[in-house]
Amino acid sequence: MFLKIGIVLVGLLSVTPIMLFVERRGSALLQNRLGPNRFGPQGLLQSVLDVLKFIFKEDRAPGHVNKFYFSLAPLVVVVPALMTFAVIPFAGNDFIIANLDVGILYCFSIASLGVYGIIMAGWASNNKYSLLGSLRSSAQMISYELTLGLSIVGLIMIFQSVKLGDMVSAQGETLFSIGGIDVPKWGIFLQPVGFILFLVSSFAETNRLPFDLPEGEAELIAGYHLEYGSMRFALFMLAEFVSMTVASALLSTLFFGGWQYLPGFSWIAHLFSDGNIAVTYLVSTLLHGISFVIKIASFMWFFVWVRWTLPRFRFDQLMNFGWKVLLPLALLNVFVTGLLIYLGVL
Amino acid sequence: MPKCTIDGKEVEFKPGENLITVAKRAGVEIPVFCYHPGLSVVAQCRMCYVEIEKMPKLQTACSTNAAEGMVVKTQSDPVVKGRAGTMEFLLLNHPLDCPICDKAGECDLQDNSFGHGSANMRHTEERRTYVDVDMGPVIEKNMNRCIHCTRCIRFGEEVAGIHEMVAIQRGNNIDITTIDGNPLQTEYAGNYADICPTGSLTLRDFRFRKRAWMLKKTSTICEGCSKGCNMEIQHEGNVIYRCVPRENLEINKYWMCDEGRMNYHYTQDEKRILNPRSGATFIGWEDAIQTLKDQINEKPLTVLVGSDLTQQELENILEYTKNYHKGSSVYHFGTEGVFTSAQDLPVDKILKMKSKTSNLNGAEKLGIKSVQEMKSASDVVLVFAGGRANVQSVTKKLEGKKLIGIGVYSLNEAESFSMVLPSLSFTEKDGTIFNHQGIEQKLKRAIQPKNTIKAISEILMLTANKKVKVGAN
Amino acid sequence: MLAQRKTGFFNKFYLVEIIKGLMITMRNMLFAKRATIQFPEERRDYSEKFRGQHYIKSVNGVENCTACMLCPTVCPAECIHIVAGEREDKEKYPIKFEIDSLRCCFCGMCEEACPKDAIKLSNIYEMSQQNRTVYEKEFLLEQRGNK
Repeated sequence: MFLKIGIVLVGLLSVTPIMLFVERRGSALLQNRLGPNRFGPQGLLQSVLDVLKFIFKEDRAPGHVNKFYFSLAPLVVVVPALMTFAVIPFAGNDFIIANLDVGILYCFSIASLGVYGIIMAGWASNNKYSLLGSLRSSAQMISYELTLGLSIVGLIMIFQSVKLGDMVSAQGETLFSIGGIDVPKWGIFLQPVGFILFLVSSFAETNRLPFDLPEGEAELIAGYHLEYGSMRFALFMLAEFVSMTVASALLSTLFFGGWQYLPGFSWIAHLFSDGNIAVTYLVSTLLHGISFVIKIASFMWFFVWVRWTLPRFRFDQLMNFGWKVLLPLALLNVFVTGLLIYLGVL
Repeated sequence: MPKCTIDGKEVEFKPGENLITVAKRAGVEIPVFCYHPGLSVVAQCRMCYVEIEKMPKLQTACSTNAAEGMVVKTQSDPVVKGRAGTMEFLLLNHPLDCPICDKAGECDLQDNSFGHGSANMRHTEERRTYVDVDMGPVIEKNMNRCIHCTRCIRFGEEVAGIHEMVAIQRGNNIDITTIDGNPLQTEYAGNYADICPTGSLTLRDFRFRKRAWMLKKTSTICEGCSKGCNMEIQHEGNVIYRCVPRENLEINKYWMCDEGRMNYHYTQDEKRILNPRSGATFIGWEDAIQTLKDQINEKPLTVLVGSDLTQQELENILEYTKNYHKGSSVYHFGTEGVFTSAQDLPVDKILKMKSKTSNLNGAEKLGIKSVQEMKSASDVVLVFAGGRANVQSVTKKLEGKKLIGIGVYSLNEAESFSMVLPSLSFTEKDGTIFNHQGIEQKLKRAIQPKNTIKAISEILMLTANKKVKVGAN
Repeated sequence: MLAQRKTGFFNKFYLVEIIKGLMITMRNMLFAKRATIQFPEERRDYSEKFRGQHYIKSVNGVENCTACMLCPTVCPAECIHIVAGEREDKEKYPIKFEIDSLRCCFCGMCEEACPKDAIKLSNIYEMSQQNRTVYEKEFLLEQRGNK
């Protein structure tokens, strides 16, 4: 149990420095620049410097803030982001911190707690830009959580479970095979519309571009974390990267088979299965873990890629898009899926 | 009145006026070098060519008097060509050292060359050069730049009354110099620099200190003597660089003496007291005013006012003593030996007057008696002085008394005072003064007062107030 | 208000356009030439006309400048301060010639106004300093120019 918690916590916390580097170098490369490449090979140690800077900077709260909530807010943002991972199986169904019956619902409920931290930060900063940022954030979260929830209703209907472990296991089956290549029963093949809806909403939920209105530099300077500096700001950053990771993990769990082998991995697992059950188990677990990490990593890269490609939405466009396009589509998706199940197609 | 036509405009003139004066009235500028309204006409530079109908050749406007029905053209082709030719000849030997020359920016040769000359030079020969003579402490000479207009020679003869500049040699070797190369002796030498149309004669005092175009100009009155010559203070960045005379035909015509020209130096002297001083130490204004109040304490006082103060300051002092020190007696002082305007006689036949203070006439107009009539003095004596009044002549008389000086004092003068409160000099204040003829003229502030100097009116007001509170300066 | 563009329901997702955009950035990342100049190792080539750090041209150790003050007159930033003086071998020369490099806007008007070809702007553009720098006469007289 504690081993699993340890693995998850270490993994999630080490995501931040890695993502700092990826974000900076990646953004530079996507924009024909070079990015930080001086410290360490290819600038790999740049994030060490960043972290050191955050640690050694003066931790200062402006005089006009509400000190208690101002200090509390970063924690309230970080903790739910970390907690969400508890129900996600990351290397076989044994490697899950808490195999809750409510599964995915727990994810959503905890993730929606994160918005309280943002509102707290915006309000406690006693700054109109921060407050506007946090207001936008809450409006955006509420609007897109609806779609987020509805987009996976189809999946739940198909897999007949809300436990993530069951869902991942179910995705191990073969959907159909064309010329000897087995196409697995991954969520993306069953629910392509649901996948797109979930992807878009998870961008909004993690406050990433093109949905980073709560911190839009041009109009709100930096939104809710305007008054924050040093380690407190770093906590917000950490929360953003962790919730990105969780979103990626959910995306791969729900739609890309979670810890299920990537194509070709089963052949590697076959190489090591020499009859010894312990070795076979260890190898397969490791390979499951690696598959899962690769899936997450590619989604993380996708997040970065999108951030440095698309411009920010206008706020009214964001609301229109959420309520008038995504929500009806999600409802339609649920209806069509239900219809197909009733007809026995799925 | 007879009329003539200049460039198509009909102008009236008085018989005997030359064409330059008449044209100026018509708004037509005729370029000149040797002509100066205050000097005789020699028609030497040939720059003021004009075309007159029914005359076969171009005429010099300075030496041609206007006549009834005369039709003058100043912009016709022959005139333009003639001027360009004159300009070319004048510039044959003129060095191209405008960057070095102090005259640059206010130089007639520059202006006329730009306006009427050609941009190209045809002659390739070497320019002639001279070895310059020492012209004394006021004027620096550079003969290479000279265009032989002889304004300086005529000024010496006709205005300064001393024949010291001459033209020796002839033709290309002509040299304008002093007789036997002696230094200049006249006390009006500064005017040589003013009237010189090139940079041949320049002021030593102003040498390389600033360029002419950078200076801001404030029209004011000289306070060197009771003549009240009109002058212009030229300053930049709160520093005065020079004073030049202004035209006023009733008083000083176009001239000014060297004493008045260099008079401004004491206002920015290092030894001028710029902060309140008690004994030998400098103190703050609040302390100074408090000490002053404690010492004078509404008693009747003997008040001495310099006759170099403005009319307004004198009135302020009179009003203050009348209201706060009943029974006080006020006397004016200025130059030793000159106590009334009757004694104020001209020193020479040009400008200088005996009274070295500017407002002797004004002080008498206000009914202030001369310091000569002072029989006894109170223990504490207030001495107001504007900088020119001879303070030492009074301090000798009042030995043993406690002297409080208000005004412009140098460190040497301040030694005989128990306290000195600095006030404005003539460059830093507005006001009016009466000259020896009784003409009222206006002083104008040219620069901002330095340090914490306060006007006499402000010092008196602070002293009259019950509570001392000096605002930040 | 902006004119609303008519877009079809499916076009409202901009899905195709987004994918096109993503492809553009990816293509840039993989194939495009980097625009960055790695400064200390690589240096940008500037035009001969580039206006950089100032210097005063001198011939045989004597500065061309005659302190005519045309450059402070024409200077829009008022960053040039000259005090003129006289010495044996030169009638007029600058005793003090200071350029406040932080005030200077490198417009090159001084260079243009100079009648003696004295003040010049060189091609040197690495002028960072750790304190407010006023270029003194001695510094300006170093012949670092290329013009």
